[in-house]
Amino acid sequence: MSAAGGGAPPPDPRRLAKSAYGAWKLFLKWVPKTVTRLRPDQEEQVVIRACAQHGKHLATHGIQQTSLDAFKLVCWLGGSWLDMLDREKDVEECRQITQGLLSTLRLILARETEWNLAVPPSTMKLLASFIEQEWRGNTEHGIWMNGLYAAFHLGATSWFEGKELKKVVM
Amino acid sequence: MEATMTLERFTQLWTALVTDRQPASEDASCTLTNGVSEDTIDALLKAADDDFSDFEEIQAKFDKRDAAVK
Repeated sequence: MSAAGGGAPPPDPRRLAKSAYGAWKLFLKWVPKTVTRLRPDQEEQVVIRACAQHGKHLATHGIQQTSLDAFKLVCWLGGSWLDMLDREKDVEECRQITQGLLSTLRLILARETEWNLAVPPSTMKLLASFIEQEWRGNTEHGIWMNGLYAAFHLGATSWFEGKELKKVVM
Repeated sequence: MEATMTLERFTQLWTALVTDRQPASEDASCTLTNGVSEDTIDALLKAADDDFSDFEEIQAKFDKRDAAVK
């Protein structure tokens, strides 16, 4: 993962889109089977909302996407899905989808950092509780997708930077 | 859960909502770049073709570890 530095060549758009599709399929794969299957029109809405959010995020922060930022996209996909649930009736669905979301982010982080960063179960539970509180409107004790993304992005980029720093100063 | 959306449809949405909105690389405000490593991209491309083996291997190790620390 590269954290900074403009001027990088643009990625192959087909490869980028297919990797984004892979991130969506990976997330769905890790959502527990007990969650009600998305109808095609619902799936379309989740993807549209997530892609729109992703595009706006890149434009707002002036970010050039050199490869897929899988952490960010998966967060937007999860947030878009959770936003479509009924706050009164779908609490258990919220928990299950959150579990799939966090499991997916955890897998990507472990792979991205060559097993050096592994989110422990206790932190997974804490993050899940943060997300549920935000979803319920208790924002003082919650976290939503930009914050969740930042947590995983910070971990991955800091691990890479620490690895490079060690080469220089040790 | 499996996706019902095809890669073709996903690519249409991605292109319209992400790729076409992206700032030009020569834009002075474009000071940040990001994205996961090529190694992870390769694993996601396999996932797009329903091959989740790279991530299943990681999950199996997590399952073992999680059971031990719970």
